[in-house]
Amino acid sequence: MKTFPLVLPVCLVLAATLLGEEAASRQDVEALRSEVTELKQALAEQRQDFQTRQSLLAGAVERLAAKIDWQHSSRFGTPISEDKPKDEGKGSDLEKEFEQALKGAETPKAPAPFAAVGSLKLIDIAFDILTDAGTSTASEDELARLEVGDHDPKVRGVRMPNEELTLAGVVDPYFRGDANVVFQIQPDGETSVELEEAYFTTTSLPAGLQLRGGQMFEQFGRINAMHPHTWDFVDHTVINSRLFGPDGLRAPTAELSWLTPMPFFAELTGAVIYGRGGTALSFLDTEGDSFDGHVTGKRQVASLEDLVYLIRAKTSFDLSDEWTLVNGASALFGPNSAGSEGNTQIYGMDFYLKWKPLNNDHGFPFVALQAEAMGRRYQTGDGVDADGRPLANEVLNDWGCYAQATWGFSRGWVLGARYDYANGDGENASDFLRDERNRGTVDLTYYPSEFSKIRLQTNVDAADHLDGEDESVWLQVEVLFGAHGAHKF
Amino acid sequence: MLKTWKMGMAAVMVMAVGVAAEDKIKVVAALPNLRSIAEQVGGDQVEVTSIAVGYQDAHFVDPKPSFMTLLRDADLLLVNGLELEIGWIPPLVQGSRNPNINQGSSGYVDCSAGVPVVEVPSGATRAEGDVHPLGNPHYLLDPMNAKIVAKTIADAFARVRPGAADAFAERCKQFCKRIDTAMFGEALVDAVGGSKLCRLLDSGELWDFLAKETVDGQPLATKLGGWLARIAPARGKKVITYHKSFSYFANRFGVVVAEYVEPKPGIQPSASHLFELVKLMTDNSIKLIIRFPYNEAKSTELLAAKTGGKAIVLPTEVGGVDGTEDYFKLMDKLTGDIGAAFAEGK
Repeated sequence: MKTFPLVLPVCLVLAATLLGEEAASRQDVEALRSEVTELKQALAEQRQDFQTRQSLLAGAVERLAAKIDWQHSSRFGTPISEDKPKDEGKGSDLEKEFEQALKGAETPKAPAPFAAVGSLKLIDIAFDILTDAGTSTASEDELARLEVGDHDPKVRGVRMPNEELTLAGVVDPYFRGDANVVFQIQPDGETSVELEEAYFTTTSLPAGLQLRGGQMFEQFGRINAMHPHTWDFVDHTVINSRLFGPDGLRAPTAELSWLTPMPFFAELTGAVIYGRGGTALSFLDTEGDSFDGHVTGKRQVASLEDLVYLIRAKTSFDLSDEWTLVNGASALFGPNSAGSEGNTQIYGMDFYLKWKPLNNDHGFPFVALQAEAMGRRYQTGDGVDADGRPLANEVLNDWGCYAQATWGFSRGWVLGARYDYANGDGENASDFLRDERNRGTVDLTYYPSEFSKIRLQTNVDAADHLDGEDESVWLQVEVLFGAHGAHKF
Repeated sequence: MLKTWKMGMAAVMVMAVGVAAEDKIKVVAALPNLRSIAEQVGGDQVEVTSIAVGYQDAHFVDPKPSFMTLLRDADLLLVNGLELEIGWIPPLVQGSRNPNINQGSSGYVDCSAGVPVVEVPSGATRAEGDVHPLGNPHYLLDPMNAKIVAKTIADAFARVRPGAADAFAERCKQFCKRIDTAMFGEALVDAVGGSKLCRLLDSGELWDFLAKETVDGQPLATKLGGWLARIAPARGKKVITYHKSFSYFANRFGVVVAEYVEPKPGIQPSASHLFELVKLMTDNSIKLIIRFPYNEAKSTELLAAKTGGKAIVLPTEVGGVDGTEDYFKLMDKLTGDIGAAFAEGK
């Protein structure tokens, strides 16, 4: 091909020389004619050759461009040809395309955006506003003895028992943090603040282990660790309030849990709890409280024996696509402050069965059954009574259970029913925290969305310390806004 | 004595099989579409399970404890991303105690990486319903995005098993070729080339190109096959869908989603909204209403009855309805059913 430009001028020069000569014989002319014909053929062949090479090169460039496109789109999501301005002439201007493809490969386009580019999710903040309003046939004082929980509707009127600020975030590759601050409006109009939970969770321990540390609700049974806005009823269960106090059992804890290598879900948890004060009612309770006449005194945590220990085993089975069972057993061991040798053991079993078809409509319909039974053995040790007189060692047993069923029968609507039973041994008909008590509850909840709810509930209470039965009616309205993590199953 | 020896041998054999089976990469996909693509890309080197099933709403999967056990042993977790699974994957990952699959670790594969996302809201609040803040997450209903996801998954497999990286890349390439063939039809792909067709489809010039260019004296349009040919009767036509799951599908295949049965994403259809829809449908002669296997049937049946239209159930995931056992069959079903509904003249 390089010789082509040279051949033509040379031919022309030759032809001119030949024609310029006066002595030209016919044979010479014939010879010239045939030479010219040959040259024409050669020229045609050269042109043919040139075009073939051109088209081969064009094909190669096309394939190369396609390969670059494929590479580019595999890295950046769009083919490089998208960069081409729309009004550029189409057709076979392959050199231009090739150059552009080269240019594109050298300066890669930014990745196809998906909105999280440049945003770092640091903290989830959510706030829950919960208001109860209602009345009861019980007087206000009586009602306070029936609705013992701190987040229960305790008054005839309006109460705002749980305005909850939830904070959660990933700390680093090793930890996440969770905190819960609860505000309450007291009957006198004052606001009280409670740091309910503040703990870290490890995220990278090996061998299926996980450590949590900080102030937290203990994993005893199912409902103790549940926050009020996840309750299926307006108030806490009777037995939980009796055994763990108005707030539930929560304290500074170091908890190690292990997801066992069993083929089914089996989780073991062990915790060491610094249980003191009102949130560890059955253990080192605040001074001046009374357990069947035994007054709690001041008792320090002097050694490891004065800490509270929890063990829990939890299993879960999918009986089918639609039925899931979760079972658990828990035990707590620790000292109590009714006497210097006082000790408490609490045992519990929990059960949860859920039916929900897989093609449910935003979570409906469903049926969930939940039940817990628990008992406390409270050995007072030698202590004193309210007047300071010595009281001999006594073992107080309390037990109780609850069973509830919730039926989400239509999207956004849940019907609930619950039965509570609690009792204690000994002569305790006048002790509202240890007498025999039965309570029946029915409620209807409407969820306009996952973030808001309106609930109507009615309770019927019968207890030894009551004359006759008491009925109560409650209306609860709750809204949640912000980023709140998903709840446990 | 013999019995214990036999049991011992049986145990050894079971362990041997167990060890051999452990050669496979354990992959858990959040959704069945991802599972299907992972199976195609991984072949017999991977063992893939899906947490959700095809006929369940991917937004509302219960984080059952048994899924934690499943994730405990996973080498890779494939998620759809764009916060579609935000209601259930995080507690499952935390409960599984598997540091490999924590978000940010190499075993957590966000398959939305590199996908061109649509409907990214700016300044949306929950007043607009369940808005996805990072954009519409239902990108896998566009087969061109499936190719991007396949590459992401192949890269993830290659990270776990670098020795087989070439094999995964090759399978990924085969998958992409198969998508192109299924999209345009074998004849057209042979004539023009898959990558050129894809480029033309992206730039919107495909239809002009097919009409103008000829091969053997006939316009290229006659060679069109695959999903584009199946859905051809529905191109430019309007439909109603229950939820905003069809945006990517509609953009790719030229179908127009005029309105949704939900007045806002995740909000129940109200009588007034349904009344407005009936009016819209009759004014614009919209005859096709599409709902998904987990949506209630009453609203769409009412609309069909009042407008003389047709209400059909379509899947959004592999396994959503019978006959959609893999991604290709899923797209066959979607393009086939919608195309057929318009071909009938409804």
